[in-house]
Amino acid sequence: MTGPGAERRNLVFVTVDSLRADHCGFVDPDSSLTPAIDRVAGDGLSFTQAIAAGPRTPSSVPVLFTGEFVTDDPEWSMADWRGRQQRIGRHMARFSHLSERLGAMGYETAGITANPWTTRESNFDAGFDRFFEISADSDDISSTQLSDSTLFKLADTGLDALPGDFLGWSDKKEWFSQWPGSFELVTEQLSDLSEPFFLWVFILDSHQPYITPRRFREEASAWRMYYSILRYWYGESSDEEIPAHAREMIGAAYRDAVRSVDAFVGELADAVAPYDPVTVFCSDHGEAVGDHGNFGHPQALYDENLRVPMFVHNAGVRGQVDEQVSLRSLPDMVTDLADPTGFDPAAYTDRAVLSKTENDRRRAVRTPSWKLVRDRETAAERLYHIQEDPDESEDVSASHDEVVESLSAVLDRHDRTRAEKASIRRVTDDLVAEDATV
Amino acid sequence: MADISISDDLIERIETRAEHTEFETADDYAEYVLTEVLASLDEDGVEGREPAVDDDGVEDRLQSLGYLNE
Repeated sequence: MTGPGAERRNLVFVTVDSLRADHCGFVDPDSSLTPAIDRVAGDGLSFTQAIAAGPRTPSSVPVLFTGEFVTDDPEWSMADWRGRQQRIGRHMARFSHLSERLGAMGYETAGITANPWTTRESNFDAGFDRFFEISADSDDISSTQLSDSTLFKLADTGLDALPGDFLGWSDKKEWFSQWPGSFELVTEQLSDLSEPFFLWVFILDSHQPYITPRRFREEASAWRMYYSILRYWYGESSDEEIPAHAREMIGAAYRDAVRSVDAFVGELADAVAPYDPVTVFCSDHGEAVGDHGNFGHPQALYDENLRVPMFVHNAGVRGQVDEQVSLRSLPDMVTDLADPTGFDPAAYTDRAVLSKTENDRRRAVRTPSWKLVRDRETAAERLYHIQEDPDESEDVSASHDEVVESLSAVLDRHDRTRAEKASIRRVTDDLVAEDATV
Repeated sequence: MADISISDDLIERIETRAEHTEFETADDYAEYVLTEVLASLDEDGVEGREPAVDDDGVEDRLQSLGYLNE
């Protein structure tokens, strides 16, 4: 091999939406849902305390591609999805992507993503030689491939035109985004890409509402799965508390979705083996399944929302890292794994990890023992002793002033950094505007 | 990664500004400033994206996945 890509390892980067850490056996031995993930993680370097930069894709994935938190916007609102998408797009264009870094190192790059926040409109394709959006409305893949579900096929063929779509299934085709529908695209890219290659695959299977192909379901029958979906959806739209039997069904449907993700990892491990890549695997954030009264991934910073499974496979290093690592360090870590000789995971661990909700409305700083959460609007602070109280059930800020002071200093330092970065941006924007008028 | 030389005086000024922030070195600070300046100069390329072809389709996708809820 010659050229700028010589001596570089192939890289496969897998992100899974909404896969919480404690449902993976290599993180929590009480879980038996993920034998394939546990096997691959056990054959590599596993991280048991990986922390997402935010609890939802918009607050997490732009950060794990650039290493930078997305800048605040005073005009931000949850309902303004175009503004949120454009804001991510500006961020992705402004800072160097992982894919751009690797492209500059001689990699041929391909991205396959099922999440609607990581599209061309939000500039996620930057740095990718090939980019594929997986959805029923995408030109990159035939919608007939996406799911075997009869309901999906009805929705995809225009159920909205019929009088019988009372529940609006035709607007919810996203719910049927399942990895088997795009796996052939993954194997095609593996065989087509020139080495060294970087392949990013982002699957949505463990994202709510957990519609899972029959062959991966062990707990939820079809009617239980669909009932839990509708109950969940009704609860979301009505703010009505979800009853206990439905909570259990939602948990079962989620566990089956995790089983499906596990099957994906098993098949992917076999598919990539001939190319001998270094594989990095993580979830973009966690998922609440009734914890703290929440379902899905609300704007909350509890561990069920932030702790994610993560491993590095085939980098010549094995073991388990129990120190904290932020997904914010992934751009550096993955880039360094292009040549993993001397790879040292300690270089990416951090005793104090910062996570934030979208637009910085809440932020948390987490150490191995403590977590301080600060709400920007109310200035309220809550402190959890996560070692003694892993469920984060009791605010102990009133009795631990010195810990609050210490962790507040980390958040204050972050605020000063944000202010400095905002000043830098304002000055550079002013200079460029001035230049344009000359 | 290549080295770029700047004056000691400039480094001192950077270090003063970066004190008590997350910028660990003057290198980090200088790289951030240059990233912002170059991004601003290239802003036409940044903003030049076409809007989504099917706005309703995108909104439906985000709505169905719960991304427009708190």
